[in-house]
Amino acid sequence: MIKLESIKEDIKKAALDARINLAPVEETSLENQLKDLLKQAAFLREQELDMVEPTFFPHNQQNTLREDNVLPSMPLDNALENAPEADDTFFLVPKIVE
Amino acid sequence: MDINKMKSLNAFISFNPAVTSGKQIGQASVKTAALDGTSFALADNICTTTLKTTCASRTLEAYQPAFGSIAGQKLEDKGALLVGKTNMDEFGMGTWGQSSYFGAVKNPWNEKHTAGSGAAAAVACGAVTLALAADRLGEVRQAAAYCGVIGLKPTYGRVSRSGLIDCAPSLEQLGIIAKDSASLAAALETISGHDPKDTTSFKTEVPPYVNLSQEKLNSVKVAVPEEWKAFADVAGLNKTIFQVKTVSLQFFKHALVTAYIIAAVEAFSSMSNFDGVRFGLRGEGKHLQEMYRLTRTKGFSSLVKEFLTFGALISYGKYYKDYFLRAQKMRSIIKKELEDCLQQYDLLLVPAVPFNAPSLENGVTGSKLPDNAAYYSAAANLSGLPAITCPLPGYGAAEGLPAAGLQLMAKAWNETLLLQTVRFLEKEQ
Repeated sequence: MIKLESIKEDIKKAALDARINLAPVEETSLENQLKDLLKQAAFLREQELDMVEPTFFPHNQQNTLREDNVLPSMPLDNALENAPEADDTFFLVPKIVE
Repeated sequence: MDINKMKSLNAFISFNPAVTSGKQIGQASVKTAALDGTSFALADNICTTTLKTTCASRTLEAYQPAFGSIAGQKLEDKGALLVGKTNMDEFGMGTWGQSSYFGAVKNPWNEKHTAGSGAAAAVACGAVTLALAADRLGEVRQAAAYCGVIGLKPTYGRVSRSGLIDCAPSLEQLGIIAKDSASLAAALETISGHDPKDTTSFKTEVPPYVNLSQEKLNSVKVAVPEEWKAFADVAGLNKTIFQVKTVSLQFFKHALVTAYIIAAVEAFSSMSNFDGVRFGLRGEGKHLQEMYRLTRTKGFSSLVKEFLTFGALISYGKYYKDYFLRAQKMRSIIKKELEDCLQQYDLLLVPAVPFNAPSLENGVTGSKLPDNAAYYSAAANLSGLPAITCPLPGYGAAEGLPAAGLQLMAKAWNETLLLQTVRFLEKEQ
């Protein structure tokens, strides 16, 4: 059972996982909406669902594989043309460690 | 096309330069499968190699895809002319057309109200004959209803999603908005079919929708939930053809919250690549993790940030088990309920949206979890079934806005019956 008191902390952790800095006003907005939504979603906990298989996609599909043929990749210039920063054949990013 | 009108409605984010230079674009309704000269628009989350694709987000404001959508290409291959890219909610999140980085889309019927999307606004005022847009929780059908036009969400897998920047892959489909069923049938016939680039597209035969949609209807059994019996009465379905019966759907009302939970988790996963490395806006950070956070914080609106955080939260162990996994199980139940209903009946009739186009003057900003506009439409996305909305004259028109939209759902792959029914209603009206 989710404790509504822990939601504030859960939101902070989730924002970090989503790689987002939420402003205090956004945290409060989400907290209020989330409390409301979880109440609306109470039916999910009330319904007997143990024997029900989940549906992750609307239709049953087996693994869809294409022919194992070598196809041309996206040209390097195209792949790099939207990069905020690139050098030669590389995407440039800041250093990995703090 | 009146470009100034389109600009005042804020319906488009970008135009084909040929249009702004005054070239004539065909606007007549399509009568055959040949789309030569027919004008169309694409929502701005459908990739194009000639125009930027922004998803109405600051983060993709300058993004120029290196590839286009298969559906858009199929229309162009048939001779249709792309007029431009239409405004939308940022990444399709929201149902009011208000979360766009480029501002809200005004309804051509009454500019104080939302159009839902630029695609519906552009079709409603005749700027284009057709528009393609994404339908995640019913956005195509809701906007079509707000603007008094026809909106179709095909069966999941009917139309390739290749080139669509989606955020909820198991729910989202490319839909079509048009003013008449003939145009819609021509577009559907053109863009349907298996695409090896989209592993969720099906290898099912594409029927000749244009011809089939003109065939005479015989006997159609229509189910309508008890509470919407009056709605069916107003629709005035011809009693010699349509046998309307009331049904009780126990789980349909849970579709909205169920779909919202699933959509949020899928968006959290699907949108992790908007990190400022390979494309889009980049925030300056001292190290990689800080760059990721600043990029996404700067590039997304509050609505998107809150929705993605909600998705991340629901992905956690305790929330995953109690809400996300159970939502996927509830999806099975809702899907079975609809499929069982459609085993006994040919069509299920419900409203398209619970209200008329919302006012833009209420100043609604930020997120809304869940948005009630999807109350009637989300079930078709959960189940993958085809659904269409068309105006219902004589019901719900107010404040200069069009009549309410009725929504029809059919068995998987039976878009033909939806088109035939809408064509019948067009002739009756």
